[in-house]
Amino acid sequence: MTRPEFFDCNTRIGKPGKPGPGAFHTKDGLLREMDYLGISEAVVHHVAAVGASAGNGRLLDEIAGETRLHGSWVFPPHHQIDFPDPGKAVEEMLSLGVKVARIFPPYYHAGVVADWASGRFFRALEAHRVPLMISGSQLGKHPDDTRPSYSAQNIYDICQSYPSLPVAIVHLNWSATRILHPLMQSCPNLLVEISYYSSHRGVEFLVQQSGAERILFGTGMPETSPGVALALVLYADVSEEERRLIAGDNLRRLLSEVE
Amino acid sequence: MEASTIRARVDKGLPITDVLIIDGLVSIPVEPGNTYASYFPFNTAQDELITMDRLGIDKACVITFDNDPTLRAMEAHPDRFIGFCFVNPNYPNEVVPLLERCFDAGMQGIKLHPAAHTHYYPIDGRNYRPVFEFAASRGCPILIHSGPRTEADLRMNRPSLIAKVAAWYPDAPFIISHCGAYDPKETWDALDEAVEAARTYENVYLNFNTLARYFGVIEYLVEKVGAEKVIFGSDAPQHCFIAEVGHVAFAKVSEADKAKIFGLNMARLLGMAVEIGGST
Repeated sequence: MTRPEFFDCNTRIGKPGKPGPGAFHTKDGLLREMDYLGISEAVVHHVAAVGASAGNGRLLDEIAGETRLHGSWVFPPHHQIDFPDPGKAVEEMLSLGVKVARIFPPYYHAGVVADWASGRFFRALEAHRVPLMISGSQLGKHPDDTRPSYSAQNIYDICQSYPSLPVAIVHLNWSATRILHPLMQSCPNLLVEISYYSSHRGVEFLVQQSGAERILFGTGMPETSPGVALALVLYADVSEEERRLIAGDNLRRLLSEVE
Repeated sequence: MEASTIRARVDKGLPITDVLIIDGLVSIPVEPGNTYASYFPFNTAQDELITMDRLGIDKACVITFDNDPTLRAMEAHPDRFIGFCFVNPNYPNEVVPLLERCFDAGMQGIKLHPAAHTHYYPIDGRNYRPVFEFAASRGCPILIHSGPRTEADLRMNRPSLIAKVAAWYPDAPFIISHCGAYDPKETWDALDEAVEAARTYENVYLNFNTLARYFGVIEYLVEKVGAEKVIFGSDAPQHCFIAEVGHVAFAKVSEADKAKIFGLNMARLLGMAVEIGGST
């Protein structure tokens, strides 16, 4: 087996409120970890952007000039007061070289993804085929975690309403398989990131059920152990071509399709 | 063993053949064709053996809530599956006869799950004492689920409670499953409670199964309690063997420590003779 070129779709920098021991917080820390692990490139967001949009600017300042890191901006999905013209916000993001958007569930009204509340934002992303990473969904968190989250129905609604928008569930949970299966069957524009998907031989199961084209390698660093996703890809009983797609080529294709 | 053997083999997707690997927690999900409350793919004993072979896992400590499937798996694959007897303390008259029957059939350890599977019985309760006395008399390991997810978990099997019991029975090795940290909001606080237990009591060990979900756990445990106290486990098939092998393989600890964690520590607790190089 030839080791594929890994391109990590899910990393973070910045200091969270409650860090785990040993976690890095800076660009240099992330790059050191990538070197150690043999990961070529990574998509990264800033933890400060989860709470306030100024964090997106901090991200660009901190990763400026680093060709191995690709920025991802965090948006509040209920945008109409904060940025009434989401098309402009997305164009600004693209003009700064950022090609991935990410949403986290707001503490209040996490489940409201209807067109009247968020449609213009989702359509602006769809118009440019900007991949939307969804954090903190029911399918992408510990099942005992009671914090607000996007439901499987919310993800279905987004995928169905904006069929040209690439949508990725980040941090897919090992317990999600039963509900994920019909969701993937119903939503061809849905992808999954595997840093948390530790179900038994889950990667090859997903390949059999939905195809390798819809699986993204992500480590979830510095929250999740990066050895998990690496080993899941390296030991999956899939073809070499499928392994390359999962390890990075799917993400490269998504970024190349951003208009 | 060369300095980078484990990592080099994982990078190539090859089995780790020159290191003894004993998985300290695996479920045998009864028989093919059954469905369960949670879905997990490839869920037969044969499927588990395929994954173990792919990774180079030599043996697995297996449990089932009804012990008969464990006995059948042990009989079918005596060189691969090490049975752990699952005990329900709510049938106190059955506890010792069950242990005797299972150990006579070759089981080598005990698994307790105080706050789940309808047991709901605290680990320091009277009905568990014959279990501990049995384990102490044989020196066999007791693996205890510990994850403070709910009030019930906190009352029944939090690490400090297991430590209290371990102090009563110094001749029995107590292994805290999940390092007591089976909750994303409390992981590090709960982990520290388990660390404190392992630092305080010689007979307390930590099995980190499922904690591959968190960054830096292996390094943290080795620093805080020493590699000798850390036990490899996956909790397959709910959580894949592959995830926890990757967790250890890419950890920033020495190859010697990885070898202890992967299998030498569990072999010692089970009284296995281990040759240099890892084989039993």
